[in-house]
Amino acid sequence: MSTSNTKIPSEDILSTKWDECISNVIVKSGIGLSVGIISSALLFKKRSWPISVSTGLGLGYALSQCEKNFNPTLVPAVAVKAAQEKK
Amino acid sequence: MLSMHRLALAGSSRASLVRSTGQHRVAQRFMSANAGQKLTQAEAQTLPKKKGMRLRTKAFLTLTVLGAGTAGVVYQSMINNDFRDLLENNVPYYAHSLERLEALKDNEDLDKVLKVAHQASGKAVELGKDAYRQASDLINGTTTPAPEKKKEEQSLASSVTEAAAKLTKKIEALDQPSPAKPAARADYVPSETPAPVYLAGAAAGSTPSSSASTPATIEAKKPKAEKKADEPPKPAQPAAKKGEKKDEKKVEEKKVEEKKVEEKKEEVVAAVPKPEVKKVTLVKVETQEPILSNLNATLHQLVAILNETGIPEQGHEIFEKANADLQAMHERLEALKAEGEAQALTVMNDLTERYTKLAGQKDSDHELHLSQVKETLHQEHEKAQKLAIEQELAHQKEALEEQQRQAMIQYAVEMQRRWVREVKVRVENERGGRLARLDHINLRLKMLERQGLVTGEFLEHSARTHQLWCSAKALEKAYEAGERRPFDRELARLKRLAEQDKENELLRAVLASIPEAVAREGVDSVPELADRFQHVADEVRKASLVPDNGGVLAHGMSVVLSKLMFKKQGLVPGNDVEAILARTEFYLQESDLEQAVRELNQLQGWGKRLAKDWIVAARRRVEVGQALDIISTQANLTSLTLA
Repeated sequence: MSTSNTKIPSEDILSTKWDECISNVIVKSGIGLSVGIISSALLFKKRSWPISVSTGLGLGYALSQCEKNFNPTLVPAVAVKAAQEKK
Repeated sequence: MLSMHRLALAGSSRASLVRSTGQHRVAQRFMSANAGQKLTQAEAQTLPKKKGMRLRTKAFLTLTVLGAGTAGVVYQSMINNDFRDLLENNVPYYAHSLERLEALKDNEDLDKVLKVAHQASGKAVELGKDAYRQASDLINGTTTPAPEKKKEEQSLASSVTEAAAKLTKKIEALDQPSPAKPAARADYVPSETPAPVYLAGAAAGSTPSSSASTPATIEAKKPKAEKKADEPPKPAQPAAKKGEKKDEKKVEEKKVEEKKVEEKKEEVVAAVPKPEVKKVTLVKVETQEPILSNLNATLHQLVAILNETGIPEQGHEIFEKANADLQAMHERLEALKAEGEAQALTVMNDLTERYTKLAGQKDSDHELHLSQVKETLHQEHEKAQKLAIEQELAHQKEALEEQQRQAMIQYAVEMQRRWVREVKVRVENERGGRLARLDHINLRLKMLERQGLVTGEFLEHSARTHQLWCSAKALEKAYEAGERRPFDRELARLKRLAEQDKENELLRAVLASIPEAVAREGVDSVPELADRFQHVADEVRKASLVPDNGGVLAHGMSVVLSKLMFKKQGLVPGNDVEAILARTEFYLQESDLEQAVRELNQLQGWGKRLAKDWIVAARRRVEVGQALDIISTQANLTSLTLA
């Protein structure tokens, strides 16, 4: 995640989150794609499924990170009582 | 659609004669019937002519689907009130049509059911009649069946007719509103409760016999016993009588003579014998001499005794003799008496003459002497009196002189005192006049001084007020500028002015309420805020459909779906995001920033989080504006109170 020195105006919080998310998706899925291509070329006799699999993995990872970015308390199987901690 | 509905209703009513089916079930049946019909029609139409009817089939299918969908929507709106409200709000004339549909449905349903029921009842009656006729024919034709059977059949037929009649009656009853049963007349026996006898004055208060005790006033009367001791007066009147000695001597001598005479007489009497028994009468000698009278009395007594005893004759003579002697003695005594008296008278005259002569001499002598003594005494007295008067006079004179001297001294002292006092008063008056004049001068000096001070103060105050006014105006200019502009210098100037003015606590408090950071940065202007609000509103709208704990997908959906939402304008009621944004925008157009902030502050969740910065900025502006209002009002006030 990118850290910004200047303070983001409150109305731009979601936009920045979206920016981060999109960039994350592009990077992760790109990495997955490249890994899939390389592995399919080198290991799997140029079959197409490793490409889609690794791309999907990258995409999924990026999406989960996005999910955390938008809602940090949304962790599976964990209930966070935010109100009590804050008070 | 309505025809289908009716069809379904008819089908359902044909399927069962039960009238008491609710709307719900009717509607369900209608659905199912519709579906069944649709299927059968589709099959029937698709199976025989597959090629020619393709387009029509398609159209029909789509129509059917659309109709089913519409029906479903209508049905859903009937069940779900929220959904119905939504539709009524959004679809024009929906509420009207739905209302009509409902009214129609209610009425038609009832009518249909009633009609069918009538028909069914008629049929049943006919059937019953037929059966009866057949039964009677059968009985007439054969004439063998037992009467029981006939009876049975008759009873069966009658039961059928009865049932039919009942059914019709029921239907009739249902059709018509059942008349209200006459209220069972319960014999209302008015319970004759005995009228409440109000015992007038049950607790009759026994009249208290007022025993007027007449106090017997016993008046003890005290008798007044007045006792007066009357003292008899004792008149003591000692009487002193002066008898002349010489006369008395003569009388005594005469008496002695008389005594001698009497003694002789007594001797004579004693010697005389007692008179006779016969009455001896004696001549009563009238004398004034007691001795004689005594003698006479004794004589008489003696005579009386002798008379009683009875003396002899010679006694009488003696007694007569004695009596004659006595008579003679008496005569003699009288003569002596007269002689003595004459002698005494002459002696007496002589004596009185001599006495008077002596007395006159003595009186004159005495008087002379007395006058001489008197004179001497008077002279002496006068001399003594004169002396005493002289002495007294001297004494008084001395006293008077003393008194006069004292008075003089006192007067002198008084005079001196008065003089001193007058002098003092004059001196005081003189001094008082001068001092008063000094005081007056002093007072005027003080007045001048005060005036000078007041004027100086006024000038100072005036200068300060002008400075305050100018600073307030400068601050206002910075605040009203079209773009964000720092106003820390203006604020510092105002603060300095407020510090100088000791009385102006309000100004100090107001200035303290503006933070330094805000002054350094300045506040956004209204156009800036309005401009920024457009962006903020877009962002808020995008996030308006995100649930509380929404993830990426929720956000994405919100972004996509928010594009489809209608935008509201103006002062719309409601608590949703669109309404709040619309109202905020309205207030911003009216340049009522305070109200706009209040509206936007109602947002919740992501919307609130997104609008936070804008709200803070706007609130700062509002706060500074309010402070500025107070400052300018204060400046106005001070400039007005200056005069």
